[in-house]
Amino acid sequence: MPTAAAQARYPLTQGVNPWLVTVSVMLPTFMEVLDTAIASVALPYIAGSLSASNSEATWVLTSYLVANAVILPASNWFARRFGRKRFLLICVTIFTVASFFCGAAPSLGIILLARVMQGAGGGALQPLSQSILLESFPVAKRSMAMAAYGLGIVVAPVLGPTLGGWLTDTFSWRYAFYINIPVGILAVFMISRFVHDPPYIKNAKVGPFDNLGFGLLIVWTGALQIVLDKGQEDDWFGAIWVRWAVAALILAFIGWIWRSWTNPKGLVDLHILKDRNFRTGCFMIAMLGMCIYITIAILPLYYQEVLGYTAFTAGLVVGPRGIGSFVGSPLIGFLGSRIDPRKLLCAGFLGFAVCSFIFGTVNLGIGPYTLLIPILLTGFALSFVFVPLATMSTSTISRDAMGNATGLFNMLRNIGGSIGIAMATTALIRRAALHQTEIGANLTPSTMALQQKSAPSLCI
Amino acid sequence: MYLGHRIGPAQARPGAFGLMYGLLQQQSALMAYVDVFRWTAVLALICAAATWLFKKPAKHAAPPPGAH
Repeated sequence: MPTAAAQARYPLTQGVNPWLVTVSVMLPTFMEVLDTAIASVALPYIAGSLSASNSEATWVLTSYLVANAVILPASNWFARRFGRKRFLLICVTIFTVASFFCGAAPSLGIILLARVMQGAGGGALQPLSQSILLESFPVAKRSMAMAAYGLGIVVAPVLGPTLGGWLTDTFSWRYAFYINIPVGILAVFMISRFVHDPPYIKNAKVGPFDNLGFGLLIVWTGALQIVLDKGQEDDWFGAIWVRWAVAALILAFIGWIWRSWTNPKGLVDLHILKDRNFRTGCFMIAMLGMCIYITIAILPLYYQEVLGYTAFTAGLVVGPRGIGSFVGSPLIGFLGSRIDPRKLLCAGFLGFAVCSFIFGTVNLGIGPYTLLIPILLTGFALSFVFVPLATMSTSTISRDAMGNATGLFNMLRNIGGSIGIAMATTALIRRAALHQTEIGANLTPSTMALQQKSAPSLCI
Repeated sequence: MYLGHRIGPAQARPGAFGLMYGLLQQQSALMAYVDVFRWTAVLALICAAATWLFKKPAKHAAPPPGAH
């Protein structure tokens, strides 16, 4: 038990040094953010050893994102019902156990199942650790706590691809998941020792769980994801199951909206969308989620699949994005309160668009450093988007509606991301087929290129 | 190293077809990636325009919990 002196010194954390609390909750959060990025460079390897195609391997990313998204709006209820500390412990445990199963997965089906579990366990980590941090520090030191949090969130994506690539190349992609196990065990130990629930959570009275709302949410997000991920393979509406799934998707979606509209005590209260700024923010975070996750998933895949890089080199090449956001974050903290956030947002998005256009100028002859500057700049631009977007969207939301608002907001980011990845992988397949036909249409036996190749003068 | 010398003149033509097909696939994969990158850029441009749908913020609004 902490001594009375310690109690007096750190009343908010019941006698524990708040920095110990910070480390305890940042460990699993760091791990969770790291994990999204780690898997993205290992995709071709996962595909290879589970005898899956590349587009099937991206389900490893999308299934995680969807499970993550579904848990987000529910996490507040769980935290109040079971106690925040206990819920956090449960989440970390589920995440760690699921990581083991991801690593040990013998087939695509098992790894997807394990990823869904992992996503469900990891979804609540970010909001939980954020609220624990906010309550562990006195108001004057809160900005430091948020800086520590932001640092963790920003550094993890830098390390992710590089560490993941190194583990994949040196050992196996399986170790990119196994690495969570020791971290998870340490986190469970530290949380159970250092984190304590404040009294208001211990005495929280919670209403009944919105079973119907949660169920409908799972059905529509799940159906949407399955259709988008697997539709291309089975020729969309040509397959009977796609028609059924779309029917289920539409019905569940309408049901969910109706439920969330008429039941203000439910999981999500959609009345908050009446607020214009929040509505706009929701639209933009979904689009932003698409943009970010497409870049996270597709760029390493490009380097590995088209240019033949190893996982580690691909990780090194895309790593500078994290450095960009690392530099950008303190700058945005400084500028955020001085400049109209709309201008910052607009600049961030424009920067991101320019970078994406530069990505679109690549050819098969580029080197590892060709895209260095645009990759750095995307990270920089993204840090200009995240914080002002959250600030703008919630600027007109009242304090007590904040939990509901951030739950919905973060859920939309993840759903946008998984839709984006699914659409991008589909587009890759369809556009490649289209371009192949178009280029092939100009290849006749008398084409100069073919003549040159078949003539005995060709140099291979 | 000439293809015709290596696999014989008779095999050079099918060999060349094979090589061309490989190139064709590489190039079309590249163009598919380029398409996706460009579409992402368009998406970001739409977002940049949509920024101005926001109403003017209150001065010095603090970033809420849940930024990131």
